[in-house]
Amino acid sequence: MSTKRIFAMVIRHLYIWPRSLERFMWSFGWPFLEIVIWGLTMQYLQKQFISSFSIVTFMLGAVIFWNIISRTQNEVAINFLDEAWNKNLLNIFSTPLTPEEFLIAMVIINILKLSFTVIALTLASWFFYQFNVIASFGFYIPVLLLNLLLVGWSIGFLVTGLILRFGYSVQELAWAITVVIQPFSCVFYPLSALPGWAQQIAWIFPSSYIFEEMRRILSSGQINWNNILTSFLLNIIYLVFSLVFFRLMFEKARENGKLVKLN
Amino acid sequence: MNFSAAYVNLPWRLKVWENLYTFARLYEVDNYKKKVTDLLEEFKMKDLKDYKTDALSSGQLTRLYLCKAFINDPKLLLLDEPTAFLDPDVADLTRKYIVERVRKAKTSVLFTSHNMAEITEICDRVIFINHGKIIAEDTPYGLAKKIKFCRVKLLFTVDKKKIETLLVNYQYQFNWQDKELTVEVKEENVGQLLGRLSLAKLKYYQITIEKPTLEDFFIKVAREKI
Repeated sequence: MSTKRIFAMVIRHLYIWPRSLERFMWSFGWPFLEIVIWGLTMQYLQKQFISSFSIVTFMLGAVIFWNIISRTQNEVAINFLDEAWNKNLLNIFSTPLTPEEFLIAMVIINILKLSFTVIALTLASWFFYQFNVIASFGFYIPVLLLNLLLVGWSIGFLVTGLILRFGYSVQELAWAITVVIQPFSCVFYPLSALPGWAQQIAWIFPSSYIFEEMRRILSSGQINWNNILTSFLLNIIYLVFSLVFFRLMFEKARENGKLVKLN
Repeated sequence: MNFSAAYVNLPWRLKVWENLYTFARLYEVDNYKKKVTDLLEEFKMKDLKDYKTDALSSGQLTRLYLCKAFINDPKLLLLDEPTAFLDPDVADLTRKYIVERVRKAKTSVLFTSHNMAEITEICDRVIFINHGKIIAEDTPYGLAKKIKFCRVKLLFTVDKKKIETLLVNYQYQFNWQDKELTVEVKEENVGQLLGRLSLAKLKYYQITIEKPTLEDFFIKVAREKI
């Protein structure tokens, strides 16, 4: 394990961050628009149907938290795809760089970029809708954040492994997988809003617990630690599984010469 | 170990120096900034340092890939058709860079190419592979020598019929391209052929004797196998 090589990859991806319009939009543009659109929609609904609790804060919290998962998952998978699109996979993996070092580099880039996204979203929701994320979640932020990141990483590693196995034909998953997972994560509605069969499925998603707890904190200021613990344990199981899967797929791709051409 | 091949690229949105710094860091090269400067100088890329990779021509790209390939002073270098997409001028320059650099750094190079003239120029030892099997192995000269025939090209202006009769009588392999006659003959029999022509008072204007090349060997071997 070499920190030099890890930072070589981190710096390589940071070089293009400021000068690539689509990456700027991924980090700031689209998440910001999401906050604005959901905030406005909810403010309007709030005025129409006067209710005792603020649905605006539920939505803003959901948008910010969901962005943490989807940006994290995206970052890992798309940076890997970027190396493939640039036909650079063979170059980097013929250096002493190991796949583990590569993944660690992706995680570091992810945390760096995500902090900017989260700060921007926090400021936007505070400025436009007087929703203060820091005051609302306070000391719960670290545990919530850790679990959200773990969800994003597991899915990101899983998707990367799938791309290594099935090539470009499944690259859409890099964007689409979070959309598939979203309904079962109960991001914008409580678990009880799901039909019975879907509730059964939702329990295996660590994300559903976090969003349940997010709403609990916002409405009552309380947290159910059992739910957080369950989410964490599920996350660890999935993370280990996704890492083993990635490693196996990487070895297979290398044996079959697929790092040259992903197809 | 390092390599360069026609089917890999470097990230095209990175600048030349950013790409080279990245690979120098990945190979953990000591004092890498100086190393990159030296390589850019050596491959005449100094003015292109701040160019984005996608702004380079294919010749410049090849030189960039070679800078990357030499960045860790590899003991073994794999070059897979490094001159594949280059025009003859740039390909020639590239070959000279490689030969000079390899001589200086004492690198072993495994070089693949379909260009037999290039192989003859660069390689000390040649291995022919057909359907995954080694079918010949020698120096370029040694392989070419295995072809016993050379080509004699003669230019005639008259007496085409008479010449053909003579050649058919002596059972020579020959063909015409307009007025130019090509005869395939064993090297030691070239004198005999010319003697027979002058005895028959057949006058030719130009004479070229082509020795067998690696390309002839390649064609012979490939066609025999298939």
